[in-house]
Amino acid sequence: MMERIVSKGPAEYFYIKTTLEFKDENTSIDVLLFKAIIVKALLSLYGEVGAAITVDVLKFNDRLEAILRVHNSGFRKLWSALTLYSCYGDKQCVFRVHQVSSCLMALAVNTRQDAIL
Amino acid sequence: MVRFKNRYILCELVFEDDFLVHPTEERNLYYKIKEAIAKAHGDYGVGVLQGGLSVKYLNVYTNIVFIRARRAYHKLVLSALPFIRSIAKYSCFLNTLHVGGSIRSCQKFLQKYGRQQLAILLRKCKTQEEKQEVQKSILNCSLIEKDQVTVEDDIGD
Repeated sequence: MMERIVSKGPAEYFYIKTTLEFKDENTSIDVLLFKAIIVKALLSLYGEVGAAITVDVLKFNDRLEAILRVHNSGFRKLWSALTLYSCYGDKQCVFRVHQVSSCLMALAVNTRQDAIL
Repeated sequence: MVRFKNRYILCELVFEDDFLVHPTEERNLYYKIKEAIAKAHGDYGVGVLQGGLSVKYLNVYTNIVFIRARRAYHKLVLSALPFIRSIAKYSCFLNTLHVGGSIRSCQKFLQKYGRQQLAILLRKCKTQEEKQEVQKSILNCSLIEKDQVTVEDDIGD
């Protein structure tokens, strides 16, 4: 039985599926450091106001893939901060944002996977 | 052509110590404001405001400051101003009095504000001499010249 869900008004949360890639591929970090890096990215671009944005790491694995949840007011700031972040300490790194959605279920499939890989 | 729209922020510098004149400079204040914006709003805030931000006027005797900012982003400046704690090693803070669209409107407000302050000052006066001084300055800043002459005579009596 199919169920249709209609959400009205602006989306409350946005979900971002992202990967942190280091230039040195052997680098491994834990989820706390990952969150710290995100806060650092926000801090450098948007200052203390930006660093106050609540970002939840819903899922994180060893391949540094993560699903982030953020309130819609901080969504644009988070995405741009991730884009402009380039090095952690002296290690060069980059955030690859694969999918963005206002619905968590939509991240289950990726119709563009072939194009990205 | 579309003109650049600005907002002028009228602030009052409040120093902790009661020296008469603090040797503050527009340049020092400008860097302090920029520093505060960089801390509160990061590279984005600095980048977005760098074009329009300037300290238009600083009066070291009355401690009145005019700051200009781009209209679209003047709220970033407003929110960063309370974080300025010192200027040129004197601890102080900025008290925002008015935000206006032109220097002229800010000046109008400043005149009105100054008159109100004089009235408050009059209430605080303790001795008769002080009271007379303040009354005199209130009359000096009122526009009707005729009355000024007659009332000044009254004070003389």
